[in-house]
Amino acid sequence: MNDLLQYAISGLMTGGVIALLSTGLALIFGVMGVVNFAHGDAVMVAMYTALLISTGTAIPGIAIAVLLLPVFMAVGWLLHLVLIGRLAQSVDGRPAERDHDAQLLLTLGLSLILQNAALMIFGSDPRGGGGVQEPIKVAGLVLDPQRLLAFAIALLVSGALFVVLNRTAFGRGLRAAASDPVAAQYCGIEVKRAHRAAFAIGTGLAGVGGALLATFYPIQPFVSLDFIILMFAAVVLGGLGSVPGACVGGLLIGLIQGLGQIFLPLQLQTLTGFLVFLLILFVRPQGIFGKAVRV
Amino acid sequence: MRTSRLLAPAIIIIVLALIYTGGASVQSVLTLTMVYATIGLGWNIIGGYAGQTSFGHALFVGIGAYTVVLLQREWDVSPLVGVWAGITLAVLAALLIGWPTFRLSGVYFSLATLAYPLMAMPLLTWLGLQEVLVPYRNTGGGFYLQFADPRWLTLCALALLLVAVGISLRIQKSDFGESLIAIREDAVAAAAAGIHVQRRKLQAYCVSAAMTAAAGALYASVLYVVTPDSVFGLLVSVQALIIPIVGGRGTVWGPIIGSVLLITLAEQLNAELGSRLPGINGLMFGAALILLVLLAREGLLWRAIDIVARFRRRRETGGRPPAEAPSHRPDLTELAALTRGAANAERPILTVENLRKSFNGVKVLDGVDFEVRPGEILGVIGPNGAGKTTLLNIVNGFVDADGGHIRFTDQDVSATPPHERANLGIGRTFQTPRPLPRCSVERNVQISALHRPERSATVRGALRATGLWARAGAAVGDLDIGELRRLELARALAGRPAVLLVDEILAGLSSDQADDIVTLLRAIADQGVAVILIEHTMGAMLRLADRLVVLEAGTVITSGPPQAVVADRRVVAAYLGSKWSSHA
Amino acid sequence: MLEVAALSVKYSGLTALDHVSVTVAPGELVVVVGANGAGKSTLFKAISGTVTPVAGRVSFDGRDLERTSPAQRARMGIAHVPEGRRVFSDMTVEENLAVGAMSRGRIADRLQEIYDLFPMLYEKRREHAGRLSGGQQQMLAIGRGLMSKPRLILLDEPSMGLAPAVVETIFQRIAEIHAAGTAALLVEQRADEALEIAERGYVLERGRVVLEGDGEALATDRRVQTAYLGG
Repeated sequence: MNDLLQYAISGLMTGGVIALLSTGLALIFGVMGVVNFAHGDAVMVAMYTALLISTGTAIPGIAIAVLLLPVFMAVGWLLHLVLIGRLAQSVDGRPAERDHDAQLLLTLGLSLILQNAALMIFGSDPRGGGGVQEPIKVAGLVLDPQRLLAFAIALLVSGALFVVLNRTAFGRGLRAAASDPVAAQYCGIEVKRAHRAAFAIGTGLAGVGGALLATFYPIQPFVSLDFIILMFAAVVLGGLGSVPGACVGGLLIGLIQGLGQIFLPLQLQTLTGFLVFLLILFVRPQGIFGKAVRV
Repeated sequence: MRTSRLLAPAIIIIVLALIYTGGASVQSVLTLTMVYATIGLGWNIIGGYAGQTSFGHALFVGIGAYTVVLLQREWDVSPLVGVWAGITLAVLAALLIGWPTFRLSGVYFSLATLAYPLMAMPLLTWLGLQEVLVPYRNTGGGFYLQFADPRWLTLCALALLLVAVGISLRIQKSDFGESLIAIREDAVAAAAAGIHVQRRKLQAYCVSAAMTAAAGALYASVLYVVTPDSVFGLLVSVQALIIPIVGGRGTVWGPIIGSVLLITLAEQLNAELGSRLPGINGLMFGAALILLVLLAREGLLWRAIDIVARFRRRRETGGRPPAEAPSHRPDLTELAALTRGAANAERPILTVENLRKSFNGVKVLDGVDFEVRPGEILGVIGPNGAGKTTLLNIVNGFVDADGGHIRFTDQDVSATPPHERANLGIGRTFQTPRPLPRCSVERNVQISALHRPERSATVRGALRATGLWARAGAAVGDLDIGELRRLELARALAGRPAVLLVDEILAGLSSDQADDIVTLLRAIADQGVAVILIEHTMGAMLRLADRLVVLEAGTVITSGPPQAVVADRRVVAAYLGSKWSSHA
Repeated sequence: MLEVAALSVKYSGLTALDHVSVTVAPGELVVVVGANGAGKSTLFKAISGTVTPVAGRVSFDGRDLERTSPAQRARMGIAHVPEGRRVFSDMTVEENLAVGAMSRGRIADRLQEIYDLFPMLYEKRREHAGRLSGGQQQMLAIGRGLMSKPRLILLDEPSMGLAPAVVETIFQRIAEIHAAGTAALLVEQRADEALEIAERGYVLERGRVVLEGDGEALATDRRVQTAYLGG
């Protein structure tokens, strides 16, 4: 029984990490409807950046995360300006299927470029992932402080995002732009700019996630493949349009993966995430908190 | 294209020459190019013809490769035999995952296809198959595709490519291929023309899987060492889709052009810079994807075709046939053969009973009843938002009613899927014509007549009747709005309807153009077809309709002969407002 | 204040508007009526900027709007209540209204004014807009347009798909809004209710202005009925 609980707790903490990584995607994809496959690679770039900073200086992980937030927001802004924003979106309401295809192709290309550039610059050997801290023992269960921190930050960040989206005029503008671009224009909202801002914030959050992840997870150029599907799964499971939902989604996926360890050998654990993703798509695409989705 | 008749043999000769003369590195590039061209052709079947962008075709490459290598390692089975096992497994996989996945749409479909090969990788690692070497044979190597002279392998690749080209050409020209194209361009219209969309998609996926797996099997012989990433990896999936798209999605030359461009470039880069800059390949493909999406979404070949067509059109504007050419007049001689006029003109052929439909809590249709007889033109009028198009969509089968029944010659069709209703004889034109943009007028009509007996006669009759016979070979982009509307009618006629639903076909037409269509509709009805017409152009409606049904706020408020209905106070009130009739 | 001069709009070969000229003076309520397909919605889209004309001009306060984006026009004081209402269905009533306010300042006063005009919206203020009935959504859309205190409000077929009783209420409110000083351009299919509250009107048929004049005069003009129901 204790084993089961331990698996569950470890799973939940990994889920916290997934939740943190998914928050930015929840904004970009869940709320604004843009398929950004390169989000995981933004995390990867942040991880390398954080690694470089921390090996050169003595700045702790959290501070780097705070530092990277505005940097990655700027990067996201630029990316949208130069690339993503170039994709014409259908004027009438939601992006059409072909738009999503185009977004996926474009961001897939971006992903390949980032991954292979990292390969060229840093080589394929995994780095970092060191500094495993002393685990905390509570009631006979082992807790990993770094994952716990990541979870705490995830809560903080999605809470902040939730407040921005729901209690500020700016956030309302973003949601309006995503809900009905035509009507949003009539209400004085520059839709393209709204999308750009959302993309910037989302990428900034990826930077934060990456910086924290770098403190305990080994980095290699293709690390994004480890979790990109999990991130999409978390967003879809939580429900499109709900940022706290993605948090919950991430936790659930972590939990399921953790429990999956009971049945599945270590190497097959990544499979669990994929299976959960597919299951959601087939059974309940609107997720837990999301609006009804036409799949 | 006539040029391709000369081009193809010329290219084959060039390739053969290269094979004969080229050194080892040339052989390897050639082989790889042709293997990937075959993979691209495989992808093209589901991604190009059917328009379903698969982001995970590496699944089938991997299945082909691993099956062949494992069979050889464990049971000494030659790849020439093993490939068939690979193909079978790939087809099974396609059926297994295709059936649920094709029910998804848009980004969910794409992400799901992306996930499948990525799932195979940890599975293989767990099974201990991270690195499977192709067992070396020093005798009888030829049968095992291990040749002393690498040129034989290149020849095998060429042979496989030619087979793939042959299959693709067959598909392109067949009914199967045409139904795929119809699905790609407008799945709704395809279903309305009687095509079973789900089944076709699944069939295409299986053919695609088979072809890709065969290429994957050959790929294993090229690689010598098969690892999960090299055959199931994301880069392979990307290559499988970018090669056909870059070259020209949905064409046979496209994957070949794409492969020649991209693979040779990739191999060059790899050869020169690969050791200093690992991953230069991936970088190149990433950049190519981005350029593709931003600059030439359909591929280079289509770009070229469009440019040439525009150039040609500009040169020909002087010699364009005048609009009043004799063939512009409808020729109704073959019209009788097109329609399924019912024998008994007295009994209603279509009855709608107590139809109800709500969207988001709003009652769009609230108990609608009417019937229509063969040979009758029934006009449905009513203020905007009254539910008219929803009504047609329900009769057609694209929208399910919440309650009520639809009977077609005594058969309750309320639950019949749209393509079956089309096959039964319920035909339809759409409010916004969406003809297949790159196909000729004739091709467009042919696709609508896919399941009809005596197809060429049907197509000819439809084109003659709508006065488009002279424009049969014209590109759809050259038609004016009147001709486009007539094309819609021709497509509907090609389905041999017994009931024809016409949705706002006269909007925005000049009086001459409208007259043509009015005459045509009258002639169609005279053949015994029941026509249900939604129209806002009142003048034409009054001339055309035998009876009018007035829909307001989801119910029929009155029906009867046109002149009486239009003067009816309730109708005036419905359109202009309740106080109007007192002024008038 | 608003001047549409010889405007022509084409969609893929179709002429949707053909040399249409319409004016709205400050504080005036002008109505454009016509059957479906007459071009009314196209006219609005050209005024609010989502459609580009091939000829002619739209000017506001003497300023040519050619290079002004739809969002900019909205901020200049032209509120557009679109056809089909287009409320933000995943947002609450109050959030919808807040978005319409466009300003960063306090909107509580303005909200109260809208709630006074449409008491039902106050009751439903925390409901998701997608759950409201058609008539309620229409009122929300109008309220949203009014939140920014526009100089001119464009109303695109507010009666569409609504029951007659609801339509009556809506038109009453529109008259009240007009009485309070906002200029309005109303496009409608239901000629009688619209012309009753209008100061001036235009009748569109097949993309052209076929009649214009005083609201009262048009309201009793038989030619309007002909333009709709043919002959």
